[in-house]
Amino acid sequence: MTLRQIQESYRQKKAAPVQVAEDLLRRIEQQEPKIHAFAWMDPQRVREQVKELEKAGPSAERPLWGIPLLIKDNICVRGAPTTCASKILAGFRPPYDATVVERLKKAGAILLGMANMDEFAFGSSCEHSCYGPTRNPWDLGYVPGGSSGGSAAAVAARMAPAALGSDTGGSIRQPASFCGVVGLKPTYGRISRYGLIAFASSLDQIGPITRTVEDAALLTQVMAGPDPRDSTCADLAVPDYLRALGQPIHGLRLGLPKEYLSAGVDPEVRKAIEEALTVFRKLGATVKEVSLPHTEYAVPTYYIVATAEASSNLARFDGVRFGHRARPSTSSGRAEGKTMLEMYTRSREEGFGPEAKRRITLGTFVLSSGYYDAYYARALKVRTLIQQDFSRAFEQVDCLVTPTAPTPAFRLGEKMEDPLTMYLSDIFTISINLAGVPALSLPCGFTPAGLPVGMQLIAKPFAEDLLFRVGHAYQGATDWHEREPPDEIASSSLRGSSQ
Amino acid sequence: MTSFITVIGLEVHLQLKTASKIFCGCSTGFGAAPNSQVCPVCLGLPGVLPVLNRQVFLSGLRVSLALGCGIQPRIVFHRKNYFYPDLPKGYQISQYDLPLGAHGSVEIPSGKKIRILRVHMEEDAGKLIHRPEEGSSLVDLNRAGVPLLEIVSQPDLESPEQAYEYLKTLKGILGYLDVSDCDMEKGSLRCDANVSLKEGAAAELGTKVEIKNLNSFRAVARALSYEIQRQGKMLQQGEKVSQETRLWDDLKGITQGMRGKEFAHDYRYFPEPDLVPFAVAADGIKEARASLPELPSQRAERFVRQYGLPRPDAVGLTASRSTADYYEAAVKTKGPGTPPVPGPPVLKTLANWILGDLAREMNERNLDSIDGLSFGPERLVELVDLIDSGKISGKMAKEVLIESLQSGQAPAAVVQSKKLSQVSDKEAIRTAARQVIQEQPKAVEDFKQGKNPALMFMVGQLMKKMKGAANPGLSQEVLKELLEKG
Repeated sequence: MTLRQIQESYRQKKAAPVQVAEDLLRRIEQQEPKIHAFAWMDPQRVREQVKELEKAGPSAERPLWGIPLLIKDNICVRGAPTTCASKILAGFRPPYDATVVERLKKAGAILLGMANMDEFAFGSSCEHSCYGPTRNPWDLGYVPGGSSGGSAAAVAARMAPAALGSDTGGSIRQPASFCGVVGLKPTYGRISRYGLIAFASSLDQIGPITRTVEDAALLTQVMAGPDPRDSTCADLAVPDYLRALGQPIHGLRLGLPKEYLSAGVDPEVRKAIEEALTVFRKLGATVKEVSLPHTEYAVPTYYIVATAEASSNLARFDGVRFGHRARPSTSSGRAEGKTMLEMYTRSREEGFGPEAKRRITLGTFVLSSGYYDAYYARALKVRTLIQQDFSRAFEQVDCLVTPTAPTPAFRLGEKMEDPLTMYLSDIFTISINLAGVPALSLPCGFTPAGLPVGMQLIAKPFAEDLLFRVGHAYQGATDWHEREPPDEIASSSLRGSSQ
Repeated sequence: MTSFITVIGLEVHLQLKTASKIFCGCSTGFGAAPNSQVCPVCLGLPGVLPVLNRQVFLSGLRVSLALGCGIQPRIVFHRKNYFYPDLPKGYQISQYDLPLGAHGSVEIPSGKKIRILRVHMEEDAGKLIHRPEEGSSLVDLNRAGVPLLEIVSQPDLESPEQAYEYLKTLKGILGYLDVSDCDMEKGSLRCDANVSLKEGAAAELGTKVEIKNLNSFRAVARALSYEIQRQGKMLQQGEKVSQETRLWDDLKGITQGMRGKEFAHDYRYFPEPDLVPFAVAADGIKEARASLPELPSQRAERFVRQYGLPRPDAVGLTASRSTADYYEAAVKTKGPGTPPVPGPPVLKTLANWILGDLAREMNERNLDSIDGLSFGPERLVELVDLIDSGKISGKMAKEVLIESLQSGQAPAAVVQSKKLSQVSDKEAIRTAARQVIQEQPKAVEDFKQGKNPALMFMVGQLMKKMKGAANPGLSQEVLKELLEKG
């Protein structure tokens, strides 16, 4: 069920939160062993929340009353293990709620548990997790995308009606695209980052992963808005997103960035996007080609800015105050300097996975004295150029349409040994974070092999309402979002091996 | 012997006494139980974000303006990355190439201008408590996130004395602004000194040594003297001074190189993405400037003008806000009145007491502020009134002061309980006066030839005879009477 359907069934007293929750728990029990979308969950805690909510009853102050949600494992939930799928945060239970979690709880949502992810959101396949990989519900031999792979897979497999993800370079949109669900990366500053364990502070945003655009609007409505605990959160009023949904898109100007349909795009993906454009034209929108000339620099720019910030953000994982601390080796002397340095190096050596180490090393390098100007300072300049590309495009059109990813989901293990190829799977999503603009990914087709294809809509800063409007109109005219992966999930890799 | 020119620059870290920390709402109070003034933000827990305490910026703005600095039009924070267990985030939020204030100056009493390179805001780190017997260290993060201003001087100081004067002057100014406790012992003011020697005014700067662990202004001066000698000796012997950080050992009176290899730090500064840069409005600067109090140099000028004090007195009185306030309160209480005879005018008398006896008593008690003496301006006036009215002599007043400070009794009460009243018995004074006239024929002769100082000399002799208990005014009167008669 979608969030709207759950709300409707509550309103009509056809169901109560306890039934919805119990149905989900049963569903999770069936599906989770195959999908492995959860980093943590505790049915007991779910039932306690349901009991409390039923006691409190529905009210206008609780717009998400009885709505079960899955939280990505890097968004702090008080008392729940929040570990970024990293060994270094083993046992860490935050003493506070992230602002979004606080707002969702206040709105009456039920927190189902924590979703698996690439460690510290470093990855595009959900394979870099200390809990092991999550699988794509459409084909268990494929990755669900990443880093919010657990969130997207759980929503696709109907183990959660909606989930939270975080998006630094595509981590909401790319898995949404690979799993055939909806994902929104809001404008930088639209939703508070307080309580989101930072990967790259100037790029990170929390956003919803849902089955419909309408549900994404519903969750965004609750989460968005100023937060005195986050200086980077914009002090702007939040429009009524649900009202925007009903408006037609007749006369809207859509732009197709020519750089996004270049050689590297899978023909199936290209075909799905072209068909989507036909739908938009039928709905009365116009489509014209535009250019974002600095697109080719986005990936290198991103991997400088994001890793630089990450290398600093991850410094606090030192084993001193929380998380994993290496036990002192017996051979070490008692000299303070030695054991202290050893505590740092061994805790971090043992606690971080290989991709985290790779990015910390990269980020440390680009900020180092003598290299700062050549890398970090230059990357900031290119970032400005990329931002200007978008400003210029939005002088000509209202909304950009692109593929979310150049390909559908790839096979498990396919890119693990080749980080550069892995990085390129975010080629269409990364610019959006660098520019700070909002983007929505929604399903727009399937490959003949049955893998979902995602389309990305991009708007100017704080125009989420426009994205919802365009996306909702599209979903009104298509039914891709209504398709469900079969319960008995096939695995092409297993099929492959039996042939 | 080659003589060297000493080059000293000081870095002062000032804890601002804002109610809450720089990036969170935790208290900045000193002396609380370890880790009791912490929250997720200053603990650097995963996911938290800093929010700038506006009061820190405003205090920093006031200090920068008071030191004559230009103000950065756009405030940007940077991250200074390094690992240490007292630094919860693994980076310190500080300012880097765009400090809040830059290019100011401080004039020290000798008249020399010491240029200020920069004033910037940053957060303090926590504290480590080492347990060598257990082979472990504990971390207390109460101090983590306490706001600091770093005030860096240019290397304009040429001697330990100048460094001492500079610190005193700086502290005086900061005291007027009421932004910090400026207490080195509690660590609310900390100072690191950079010192190097060069062979001549035109020579290139020598290798600089940084001295840390300086816990008082005196320690700064002592450590610098030691270090100048140490470096001088090395250079004389043709040795090279190596660039290093040395720790001052106050008990042994020496500096020592830090044990073990020092890390060659690369702090990898980059703009703090969690704080949004903001513009400083010209109106805001104007407003802050207008709200600055009268600063020591301005107040000294006024004291010279208004009270007719000699410049050194005015500078001495105004160096600290509390002393200057004390003086002005005393002047107000005393009122215009009749000047005592003999002696300087009352305004000067009050200054003399404050800069002399009271300052000495403060020193002996190691007091920072005159208020710590618990001898308010009304008591000083009471003491001076006792002299003026002839009840006690100036010499006795010194004893009364000491007694009053010890017992907490008011001066008049001390005089009464100790029966210290001076002799105003005209007959007793006359007897002593006759003896003085007999014993000092030369002075008598001088007086008769119109040399007035001779009379003062004889008054002094008379006082000596009566062990200071004679009323000086009356003594002068009686002596004059006898001399003119006889």
